[in-house]
Amino acid sequence: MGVKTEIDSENVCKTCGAIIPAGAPGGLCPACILVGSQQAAGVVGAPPLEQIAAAFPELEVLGLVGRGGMGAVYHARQPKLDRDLALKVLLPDLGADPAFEERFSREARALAKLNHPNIVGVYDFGERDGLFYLTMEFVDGVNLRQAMEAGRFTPEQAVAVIPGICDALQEAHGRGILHRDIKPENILLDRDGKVKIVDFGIARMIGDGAHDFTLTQSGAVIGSRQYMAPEQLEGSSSIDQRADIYSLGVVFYEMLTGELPIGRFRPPSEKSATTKYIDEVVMRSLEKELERRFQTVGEVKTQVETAASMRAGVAARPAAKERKSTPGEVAGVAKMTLWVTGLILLAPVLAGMALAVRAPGREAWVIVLFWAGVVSALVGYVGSWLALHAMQRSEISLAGRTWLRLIAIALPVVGVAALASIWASHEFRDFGKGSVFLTMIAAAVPTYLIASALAKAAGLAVVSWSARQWAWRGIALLMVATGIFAGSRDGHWPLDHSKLRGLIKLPSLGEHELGPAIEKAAGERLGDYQIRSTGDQVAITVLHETRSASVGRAPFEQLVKDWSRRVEPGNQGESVGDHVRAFKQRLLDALPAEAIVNAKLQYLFMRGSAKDELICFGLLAALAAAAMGVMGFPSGLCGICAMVFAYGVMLFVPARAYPADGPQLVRGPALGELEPEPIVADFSTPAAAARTYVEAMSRVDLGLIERAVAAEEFERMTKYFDPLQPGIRAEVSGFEGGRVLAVEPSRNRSGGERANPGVSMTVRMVSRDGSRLPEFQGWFSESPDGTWKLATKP
Amino acid sequence: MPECRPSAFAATRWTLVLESGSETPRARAALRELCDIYYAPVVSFVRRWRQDGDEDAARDQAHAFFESVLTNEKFGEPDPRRGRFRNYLLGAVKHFLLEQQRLAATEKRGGRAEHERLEDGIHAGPGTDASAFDRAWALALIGRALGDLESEMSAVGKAEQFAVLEPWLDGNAEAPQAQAAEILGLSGTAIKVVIHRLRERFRAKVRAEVAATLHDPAELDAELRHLVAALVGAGSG
Repeated sequence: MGVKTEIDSENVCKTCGAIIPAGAPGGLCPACILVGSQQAAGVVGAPPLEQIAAAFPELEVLGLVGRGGMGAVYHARQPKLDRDLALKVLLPDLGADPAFEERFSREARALAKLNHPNIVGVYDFGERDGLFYLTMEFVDGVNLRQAMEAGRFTPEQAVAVIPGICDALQEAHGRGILHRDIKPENILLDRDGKVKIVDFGIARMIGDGAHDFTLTQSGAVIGSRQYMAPEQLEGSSSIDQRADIYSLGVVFYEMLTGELPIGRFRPPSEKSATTKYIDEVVMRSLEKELERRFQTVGEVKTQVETAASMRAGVAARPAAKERKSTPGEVAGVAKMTLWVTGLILLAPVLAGMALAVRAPGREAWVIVLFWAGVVSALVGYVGSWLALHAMQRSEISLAGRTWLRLIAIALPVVGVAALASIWASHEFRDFGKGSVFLTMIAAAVPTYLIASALAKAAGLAVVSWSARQWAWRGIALLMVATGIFAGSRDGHWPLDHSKLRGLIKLPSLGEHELGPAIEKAAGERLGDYQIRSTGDQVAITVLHETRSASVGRAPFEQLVKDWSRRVEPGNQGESVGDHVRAFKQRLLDALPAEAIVNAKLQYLFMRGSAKDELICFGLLAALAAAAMGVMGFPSGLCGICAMVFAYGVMLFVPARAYPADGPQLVRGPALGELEPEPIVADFSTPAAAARTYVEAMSRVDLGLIERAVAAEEFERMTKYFDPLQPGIRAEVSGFEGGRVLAVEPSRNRSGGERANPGVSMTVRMVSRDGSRLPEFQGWFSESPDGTWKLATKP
Repeated sequence: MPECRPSAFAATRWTLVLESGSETPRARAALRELCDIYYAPVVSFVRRWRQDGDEDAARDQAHAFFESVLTNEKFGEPDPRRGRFRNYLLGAVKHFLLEQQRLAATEKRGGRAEHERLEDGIHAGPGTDASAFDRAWALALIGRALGDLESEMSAVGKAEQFAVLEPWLDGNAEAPQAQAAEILGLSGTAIKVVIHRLRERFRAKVRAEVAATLHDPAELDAELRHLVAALVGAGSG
């Protein structure tokens, strides 16, 4: 008999909850079968076949196909025209209303004018033997109610049905005909999945205006109420096409969820695998307020088609055959996706292996590995597009499509931006730029994921599509604007100017107003040269002594960076040290006489603002990511990629031009011949001693250095010194052409004399090709030509 | 087998029996047919009644019962109690079993005294209430309709369709149809049409089988409701 075998254990029917007894034929639920058989008994009330056949001798009445609240429908054949038709016979007692016949004719004539593939056409109408009838196009299929009972609609199938209904309604509405009774029983599906609407305007035939159906009529009528728009139920006199739209919304909802939208109903996406875009359409169709509902069926159709295209490919074809899935695909990942992912992940592995092997001779196999990685990534990437294309055409299973989209779109965007930032960082020796980019990624992606998860949990998922679009545009605009500004400030906007201003605004310390002085020195004299360094950092510290016991520190933070290692024409022979000396000079000129200034001015602009920059950009990125997380994938992730990429471009493009035309941090008059000023040795106070010492160091005035070192107060001052003392030329054998980057004064040995004349210096050197060598401490002695040579290693 | 289309009999079996008595060959054939269909519920009823777990003895007794029905019973008189074959059969089998029990007891004691106290202190096994019988009745009925449908479908060459779509016959709407559609080479919509038609056919057959056990066709709904209640109220077999 049945395929299923008898089951001994308790088996509960999912539909009715009764226990399916052991021995139930076919394993089917007997209760459900019998209940279903009850409902099938519907011949009571319809005119018997013989009566119909007698009334319509020109037709072959084949059988009853359906029965509704208004009448019965028979399948008949018209031998004369050799066609099948549906004969709808209205309930006899309806004819009792005298105005009925007039209404009936009028409506039937209007219906006969409707000629559309999605509308069941009307062939003829009239009255025979007291029965009012219509002959219509016969549809070999089921109505939507029967189809829903036969099996649950997938979202794709449901969406496929809607455009046909919309087309039918559009045609009718265009001719001023409303259906007024859209419900699953009136929507027919033939075997090819084509939709046909039936019973247009029947409501108007039967009744007058909106009071067509009341509770006093038969049970089937009550069903219609559930599909009626609120204005219809209220009995409003002005019903328009929006009532049909509401009914359509109810049908749509029922197809997607299996339930009717009554009371406070949940959106379809929460009850089935529907997208938020479909939600939009359904919820807007079900708007109680007329103004907020879709105004025309055309709008509904457009929205549905847009929403359907969000799940590209499948919804476009009604009843598309789904390819049978293999176990791997059923698990959620298509073979193609696995392949593509594998190839792409292989690429960095291979490349990494290649790069990790720093073979001095660049052996062939290393190169092969590297290029194999590149090829693997390219093949994987192309494969992802091919796979997506195949999915679009339903050639392969759709499993893993989201992941593939991520690879196809996000990977190149992020990859290119990352590569650009790495290159730019290397090229311009500014790893700050790279870190801004990475900070933004690090801030944005987790924030986005967390925000979207929280939004979903909080039920905020239903944000209208248009609102989303506008929000995204706004954010994108903001990001681009920020990027442009940042670019014009070498990536330091919005911080550099404020920082610069802020830095120079020093509070007055004690009675000495240093702020104006430094501001004057730094900002006032704008010349036509730039301070460049060919080293790494220049540290300049200004100290001053207040009347109080402790020495206050008024940091003046700036940083002169190395923008270009290329020697610009015209600057031959200049060094940062020269510029700094000039700057110091100006500063000393500007300061009040009683200010005691350590000639070393130390500024640390970049470190401070770099941190702030990162925070600022990180926050911006996180904010944008949070907003996008609430709005939902994939627009969110794409938005982040776009934003990050835009930043990557914006930040780096101006940087190329920076060395020549960028803003200058410190400008001054043209550098002329600088006469080295004689140092006035002053060892009266610790500060003075320190100052003297520093001056001596900068001029490498050995005698003075020794005297400074010997000074009593020196020890106390050493802690104020920064060991950076650029500009000193020293020579260390084996590192020809090198340059001393820093000099650390030797520690004062308590008592004792030095065996050799000279200065102990800790030297950091950089060779001509720019590579830095480890620092070492050595004893340098002055040679006649003014350079310091390494005497012995201590 | 004289007729391979038992459904032609369907609406008339019990009516035929009641109206023509068991005299006419057609009526006899109809009665035999009915007994054939509802053999299983009677057997399980007898088995439960006996409580001794003796499968063969139960079957023998059931056979004996049917024999007695087919040979002895006169159905000529219209009897409102006999409107439904099910009720009739249940009453008849109870009567038969009680009578047998009484005879056995009397024989033990020797002599054949006639006692009219049928319900007197005689224990019936558990599950010999009407609802258990009705449940078994419903299963037999459905089984018959299903078998009918299968043969009908095979006869028109749609045996595969029946085999694949059988699980949907009880109105189950949740099971995914994609694979079934694939096997039968139908689109998602077409398969809904086919399922609907098959279901309608099956339901018609079930109704016909039920109607066959009734004298008054107006009782169809009531009988269906009764059977559903017996099935749904099932707490224990």
